[in-house]
Amino acid sequence: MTNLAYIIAAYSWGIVGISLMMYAVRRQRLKLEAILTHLESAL
Amino acid sequence: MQQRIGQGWTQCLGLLLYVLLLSLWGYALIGLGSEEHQGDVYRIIYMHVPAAFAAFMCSFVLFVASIYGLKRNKHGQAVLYGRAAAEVGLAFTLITLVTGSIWGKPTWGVWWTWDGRLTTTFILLLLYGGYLFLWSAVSDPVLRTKVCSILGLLIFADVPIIYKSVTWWRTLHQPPSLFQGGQGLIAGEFLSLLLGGIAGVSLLALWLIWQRGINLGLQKEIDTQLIKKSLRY
Repeated sequence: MTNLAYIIAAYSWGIVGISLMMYAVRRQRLKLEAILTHLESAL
Repeated sequence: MQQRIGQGWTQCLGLLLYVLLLSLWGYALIGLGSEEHQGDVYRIIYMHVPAAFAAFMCSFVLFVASIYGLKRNKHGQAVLYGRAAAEVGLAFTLITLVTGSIWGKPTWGVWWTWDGRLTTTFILLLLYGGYLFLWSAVSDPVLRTKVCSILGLLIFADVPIIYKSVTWWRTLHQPPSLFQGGQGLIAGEFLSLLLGGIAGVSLLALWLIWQRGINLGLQKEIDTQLIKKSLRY
């Protein structure tokens, strides 16, 4: 592996990891709020 | 429902931090020159070191949440933030270990070695994982708060050991590289970028803990409402 490959691998791992975490919390929030709104209107 | 208020600006804040970090890493990759001894591979430290500091910061949040959970808030939001900190801490410890390993191969010639710094960081990963495992294994909320908070305190105790591991034991990992004896060891521009990265990633980790903590609170509220609903029928 060249140095460039190591750098790309490390940055990809970090950036993809952080992006996935951000996406996951956002997506989960939308889902939970939709469920809660549905429950509140049903009660 | 107050969590939903101000949702827009909190999302913007997260996005802003993310964009700032991407620009910082872009500059670290393209704007900075090569380092004398390591060549270009040193650029990995702008991902590796901030991730490590974020993992340590998560353990501090977990420590505060654990103390608060043990003393006052046995059923409340504090322990949920503790759990969120353990999740985010686990992710950042994993990023630290993997990027460190990728940096280690061209620098040391090995992907992994069981030296003091690497082993204690690996233990941190296992402890974060153990905390989450324990959380799911105990169903009684009061007991869960108690045992998880005690483990949370132990996790925080691992951080000074990780930090001092390079001075206490002979390791392949280099000694503290930011400051030693009150003096900076890295030249100006490299140091400011690294400190900026540490601040940025730590703030992003805090943001993730905050958002995930709110999600866990919403999940709890849904569970309560479902119980109420099932009791009605």
